[in-house]
This record gives sequence, C-alpha cells and structure tokens, in this order.
Amino acid sequence: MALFTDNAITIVKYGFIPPAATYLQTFTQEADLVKLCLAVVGNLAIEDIADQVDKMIEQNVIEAIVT
Amino acid sequence: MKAHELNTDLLITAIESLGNLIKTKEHAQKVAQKDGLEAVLRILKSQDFSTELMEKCVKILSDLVAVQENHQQFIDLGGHQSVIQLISSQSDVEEILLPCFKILARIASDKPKCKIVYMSGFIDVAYTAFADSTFR
Repeated sequence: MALFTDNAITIVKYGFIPPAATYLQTFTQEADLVKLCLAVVGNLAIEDIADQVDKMIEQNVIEAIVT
Repeated sequence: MKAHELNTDLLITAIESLGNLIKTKEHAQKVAQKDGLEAVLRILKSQDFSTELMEKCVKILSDLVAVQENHQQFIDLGGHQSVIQLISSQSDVEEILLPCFKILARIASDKPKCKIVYMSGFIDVAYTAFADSTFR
C-alpha cells in the first residue's frame, strides 16, 4: 500500500510513524519484522507530495532508523 | 542500524529508507544532525565485504555532503579518510568510485577542506586506483 503516493500520504496522516518508530526502537530483537517495518517506512518516503517526509522526520523516523 | 550491525540485508533496507528521506537540503541537514551521517560511516567501515551496501552508503553520503553545513561533521568523523580508503580498495567498482569522487569534490569545495583532503593522500590513492582499474 505504501508504494502508492496517495496511500503513503494517508498512512502518514493517520499516524503510522509514531508507533512504527516506537516499534523500531523497542523490539529490536525481531530482525525480520524490523526489516519489514523499515521497508514500509522507506516506501512511505519514496515521493514527497504533501510534505509527509517533513512530518515523518518530526515524528522521529530518523532516530528510529539509526537506532 | 546499531542494533543489527551484523545483518547486511537489514542494513541495506535501513540505508535505503534513510536515503528516501533526503529530498531537500534541510532533510540532509536533519539526517546528519540526528546521527545519520555517523551511522552510515560506521556501516561503511564495518560492512566492507558487501558491495551492494557500500554502493548504497556512498550514494547517501554524496547526498548528505551536498549540504555545506554537513562538511565539517563529515571530516570530524573521518569520512574523507574512509572514502579515500574505499577508492583504493574498490578501484574496479565504478558504482562506488563515482560517488566517492563526487563526495570528495563536494568536501573539497572550500580551500581549508581541500587541503585536508589533499593531506589525506588523495592524489596518490587516486593515481594508483586509476592505474589499477580495468575500466576506462
């Protein structure tokens, strides 16, 4: 779903990033799920039509990836 | 990234995700400020057996140093030395070499930093890399 720009904007708008960031920072032992979560986050940022990348950054997505 | 430093597949996904976030110079600055630059350089050093991951790392580094504000941090973290080492060790991999030269060209855009790159032995390494490389 996240591969389509309209969906990506909606997913970010409805608050996917904060719980995803928490998940990435908390459940680090689950490598397969962490990888999937990272892929979704990356797909959400492929295109930046409605400034959703700014919103994702505000919601600590960089910290979650780097952790 | 820190929690899975030995998982190359996961690191590739993480680097791709981080790279997708850099759409503007402001984004590049934020990634560097939030330890993204340091994380990419650390992976570049530790995963020197994965060409695919190194390619993705140098691509994101070249985006990060497109912003002048990130240059000092890059040098402080020894990024220029890592890139010069990479030119030496990956002299046959065009996909790695070209972003490496782009990175150094961007870093060396002002005189003091140009001197730092020069003092790190760039000329000798570049000369040897070209002499050894198979592509022209």
